Amino acid sequence: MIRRLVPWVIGVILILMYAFALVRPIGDLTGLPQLGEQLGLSISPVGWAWLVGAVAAPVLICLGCLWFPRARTAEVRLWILAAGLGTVALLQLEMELLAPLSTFFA
Amino acid sequence: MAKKSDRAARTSSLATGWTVEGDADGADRIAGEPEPRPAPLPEPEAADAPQQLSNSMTIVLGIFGGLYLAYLWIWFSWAKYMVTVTAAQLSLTTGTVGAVLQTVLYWLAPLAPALWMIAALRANRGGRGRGLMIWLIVGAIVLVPLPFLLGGAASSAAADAAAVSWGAL
Repeated sequence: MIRRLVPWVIGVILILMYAFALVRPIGDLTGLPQLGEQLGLSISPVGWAWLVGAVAAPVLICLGCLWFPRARTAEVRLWILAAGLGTVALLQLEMELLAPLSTFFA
Repeated sequence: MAKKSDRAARTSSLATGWTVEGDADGADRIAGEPEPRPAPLPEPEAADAPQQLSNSMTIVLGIFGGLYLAYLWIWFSWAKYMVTVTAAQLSLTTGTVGAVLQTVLYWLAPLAPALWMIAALRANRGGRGRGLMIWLIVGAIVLVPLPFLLGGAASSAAADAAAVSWGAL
């Protein structure tokens, strides 16, 4: 029973971390245009690409990590899910390092 | 001329009308013929048997392992930098729980190359080397530390601005 429960618990924790990784990009997607309006600026096309990409990346990577190894064992699926979460965290850190706020506004 | 084996079925010489049962295997065997060998044990499944890596695959794994280790170290330095810069702001802007989870995400980033390597090895265990190679090449492209390659000093300045701006949001 516990041996079957542990993978599920780890999987749920990983999925919740994916959900948390989605919170801030959604906040930026909704908040930055409002901030731009207050400053009299608009979001540049590159900025929109960054904002939409930041929201899409965790969703697509999570779905891919759930769908791609669906025929594998639970252990392999968890490793792939963890690797996907690490990739999401890495891409977000990369975005923070590469895209300062000035690149979002036209 | 060969004669029948003693283990064949025969009429009992002790009790008239009784038949001594013969050895089933030896009933039709001719005397002097070697005994049949026992059936060999079934071979273990190929997937279960431990497979030894070829020399070329060992070298490839060593190269990618070193590359991924370099990635890990570079991303570790960037994650450490970001945690140091944004630590004070995170708890103010995202709350205590949010700050903890965001810090976990920051520290998870440098672990991505190691997790990718482990996932690739686990997913392709017993498989062909081609699948593992594809996994490792894709990982080497996706996980490449672009801020490092695009110039550390410039990225550092951008990181300062990004950390302040993103943290404030």
